Amino acid sequence: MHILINGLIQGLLISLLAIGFSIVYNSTGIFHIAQGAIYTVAPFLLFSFIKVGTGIPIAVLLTFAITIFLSMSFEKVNHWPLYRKEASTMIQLISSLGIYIVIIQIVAIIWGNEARVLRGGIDVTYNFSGLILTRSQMMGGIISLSFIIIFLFWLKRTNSGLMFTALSDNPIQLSLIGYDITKLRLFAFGLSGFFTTVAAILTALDIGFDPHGGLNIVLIAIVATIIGGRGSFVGPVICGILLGVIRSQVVWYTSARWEDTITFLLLVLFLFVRPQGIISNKGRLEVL
Amino acid sequence: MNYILHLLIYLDIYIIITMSLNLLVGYGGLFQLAHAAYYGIGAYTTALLMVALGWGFIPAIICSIIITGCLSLLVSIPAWRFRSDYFVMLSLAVQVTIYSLLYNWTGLTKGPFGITGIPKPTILGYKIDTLPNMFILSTVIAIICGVILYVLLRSPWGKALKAMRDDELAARGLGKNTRLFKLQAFLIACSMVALAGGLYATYVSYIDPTSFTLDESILMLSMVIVGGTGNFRGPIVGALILIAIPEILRFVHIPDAFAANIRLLIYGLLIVTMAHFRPQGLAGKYRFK
Amino acid sequence: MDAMTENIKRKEERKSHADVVFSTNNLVKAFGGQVILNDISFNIRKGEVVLLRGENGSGKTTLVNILTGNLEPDRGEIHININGDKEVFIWPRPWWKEINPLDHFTPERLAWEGIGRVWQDIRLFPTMTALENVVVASPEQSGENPVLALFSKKAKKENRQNTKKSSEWLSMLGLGDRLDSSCDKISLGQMKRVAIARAIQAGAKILFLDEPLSGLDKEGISEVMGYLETLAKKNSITLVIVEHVFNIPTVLKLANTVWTLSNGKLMINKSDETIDDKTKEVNPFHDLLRQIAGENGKTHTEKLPNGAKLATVIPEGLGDSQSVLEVKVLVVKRGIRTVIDRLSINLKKGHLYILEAPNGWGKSSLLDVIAGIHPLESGKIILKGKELNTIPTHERIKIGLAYLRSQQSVFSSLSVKEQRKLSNANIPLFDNSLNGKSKGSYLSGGEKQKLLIEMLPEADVCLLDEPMIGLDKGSIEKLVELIKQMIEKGKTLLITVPEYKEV
Repeated sequence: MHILINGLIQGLLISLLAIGFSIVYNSTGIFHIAQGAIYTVAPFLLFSFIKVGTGIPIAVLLTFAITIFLSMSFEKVNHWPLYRKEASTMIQLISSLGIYIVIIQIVAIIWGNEARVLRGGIDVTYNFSGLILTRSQMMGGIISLSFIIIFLFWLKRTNSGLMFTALSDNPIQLSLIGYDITKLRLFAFGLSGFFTTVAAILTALDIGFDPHGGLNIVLIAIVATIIGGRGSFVGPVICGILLGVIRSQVVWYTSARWEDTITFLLLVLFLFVRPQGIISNKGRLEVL
Repeated sequence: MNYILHLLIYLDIYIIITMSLNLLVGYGGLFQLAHAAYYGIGAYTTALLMVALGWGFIPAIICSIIITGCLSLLVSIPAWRFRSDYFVMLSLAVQVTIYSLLYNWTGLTKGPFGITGIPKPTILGYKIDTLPNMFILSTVIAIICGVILYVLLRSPWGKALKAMRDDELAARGLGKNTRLFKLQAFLIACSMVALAGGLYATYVSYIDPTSFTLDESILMLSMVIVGGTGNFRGPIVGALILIAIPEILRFVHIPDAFAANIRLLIYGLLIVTMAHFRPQGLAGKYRFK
Repeated sequence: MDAMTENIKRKEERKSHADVVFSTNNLVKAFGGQVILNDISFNIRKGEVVLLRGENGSGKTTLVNILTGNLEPDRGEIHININGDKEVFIWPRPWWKEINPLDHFTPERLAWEGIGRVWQDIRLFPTMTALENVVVASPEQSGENPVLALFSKKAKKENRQNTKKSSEWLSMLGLGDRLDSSCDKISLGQMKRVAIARAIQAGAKILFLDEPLSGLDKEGISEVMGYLETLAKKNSITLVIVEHVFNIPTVLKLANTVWTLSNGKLMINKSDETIDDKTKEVNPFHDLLRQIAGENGKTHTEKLPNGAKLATVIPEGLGDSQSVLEVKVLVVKRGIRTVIDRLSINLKKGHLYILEAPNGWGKSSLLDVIAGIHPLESGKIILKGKELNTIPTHERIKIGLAYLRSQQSVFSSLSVKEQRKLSNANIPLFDNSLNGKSKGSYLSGGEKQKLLIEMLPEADVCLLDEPMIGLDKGSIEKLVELIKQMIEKGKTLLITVPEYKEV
């Protein structure tokens, strides 16, 4: 039971990241590897702001401001110009990879290569009739669940959510109706940065952070997105949760070493068994 | 002088790596983020065969090429249907999995402790244990690989691969079995990088999983992208830059602790710049659209 | 009279002796609920030349894609019998055949059977020379096995022979001096012939050609037709030529069968029978032009390069007015192909323009560039006095542009109601057949088109790319009404239409 709850919380965090990835991927087709850079940089920023004594609320605000701005700058400086040049998805992917590398190295140079923690000392725990959860886990679970619900609600019920879904569906037609897709894309990157930062900080609170885990985590989010179904948001959310549960079970029954292996083997399995919408099967003219 | 030889041996090894990856990326159109993993399998297989079973260099290398080749088939045969961006995902999965195996299967690979005492190669009874001799060996191997690739790329096979890269659908419409070509390119590329891995293992005589991480794969891919894809010079330029950058950094007195980071940083910047202004790389011929 | 009947008799006799090389039974293909191909059956004999015609959107491309292995039908059978080797494909395919990776219905499989294709956009390999393009197509090259390529002398000899044969062939086609030219340096007519040679080199015995004459001048047309004639008559290559209205008479000189695809059904006629009125389609806009011109209005037709015509209608009462959209020396490329070469047109306020051009001319590319969807290579576009060169699409819309694209690209995951809300389209313009709850992807082609027309923003300048595609007669009348109203309100319209035969 404990493992299940653990897994659910892990899963919710993965779902947040999956949303962060899908927001960009669905609306722009960009394989947002640089999301890993945002994920990595956020806890370091928070850490430093707290260290210089700005107090937690301001530190959090500043961190979000910077990461959201950074995420939007990816679009403004890199992806949008490439889009105007009609660059292929591979080029966009490569440039995203390049950005990831640059930012990770900057983080490592400024803050060093070691892992750190956000809170000093043991975490406060809560006991729910035998089930013990740390405060970080509780915060992780509640906050991520709330944001996920708010996001899905926004998407389905509001005008701006509708615009956003339209952007993912057919950006050209959307611009032909007069909507500013440059602004919408920027917004997508900003929103993605927001969700990524939330997940990053919550995880950092729980287990700490380092400059090199970013890509790995984002890969897991990408797995959730692909298995969940590209083009949708509900799919990645559900898959994120499932992945979290499965990974916890794997850790429990074997060891933490095999978490990632199993995750990717699942991806491979899925790609072969149920490739709907992933591999263009019927429309053979949709090549590469 | 010794130091320069050392650099040149590394250059040879990296040229083999970049040439093989270029075959995949620049000719096959397949982005591979698992090249370091196959490099690692080549290195570990050679090392284990030589250390644990006492095999000689040539048999060990041949065996590691075969094993890595078979492994690549295991991945590529099911994967031939995939579009390129999903192929990247798959290669990521392979990289993570293989690294994880190298790190965690301590029974076989001794995990993070690595394998020590890998002997220098003995070819036809002649032990190659001086730096200049090692350099000759690595250069000979690099040249052999280069010649093989050169001949292949100018052959009908190479032309068919180029056709496939230019317009896969049109090539299929002419009867080209593009899946088979991709498999073959994959096999050749992975086998060649395994050869580089074996060479590396005997040269440095100690290997551990940290040389075969995702970062290393990214570095390899960057070399190929920056140096140039789709032609012969590109990979050589890419490898040259890789070797040259840390040396230049040393010249400028960047502390060693940061050297690795700065090198990767420069690569990242180069990649982004290339993507915008010169998608075919510095010396390449094939422009990714 | 007698000579003709004798001729027909001889043709019949020859036909009944000739083998059937390709036939289909009851092919059906539907996309998202809309049936594109409905029960297509035919036989083709060896050496036959078939003309396949039909309007844009009639499913010609879908049919050719299926027959060349690029698409699978939902139901039906395909029988291939070239050189005595029989192959049968039946859909739906049983599951055990789907799993077997060696038994898939693919373009390369059909190519091995002898089916070849020449694409409308030619698709020569850009990084290779003309000669290399043909050589690479040689079948069964042992040099295509990497091991043999490295070590086998036979492979090298084969390659030399293939190269020699290909260069002789290309020389015969008059391309001898172009062998080592890269593909962006040869003319369109030459490129098309290289593409045909390439397909034949690959061993095609049945060749599907997608609008092979589009974009060619008189000389190019005679070169290509000459080549095709040689292939059909001397080499007994079976040809299926898809062509659009304008070039049909030229092809008819060679074709002995005519297929007409309409509403998903195929009608087969012999070429010397009287062609039904599909080719004599009256341009529905002639009526419109007259109505809008009124008694005192004027019409005027300008010839544009490459066989296009721009007809202008100046409604009565409107004198010479200001320029509202100007295109100056526009050059547009798609990939390595130059689609539009130094085009200049000037649209005046309040006028109605109809651009009539053959397929492949670049109508959609022109409109895409004006709307900012595709970049231009050089030249200027000036909308209401503002130079548009780098302004993004939505800003052009704000300046006063509306664009109806020809691909029926609605929002597939949004419902009709949501799409109307998004575009502030509150008044249904057509009959109320559009169900508010249906998702975009489930609409038929005609419904999508109607929705797109409803979603058009209010604008001074309206670009409509083949707006009648998929619409039924009643909706077309409604559309014509709408156009009249727009002109009355003083808007400027540019409508593109495919070519129509003169009445």
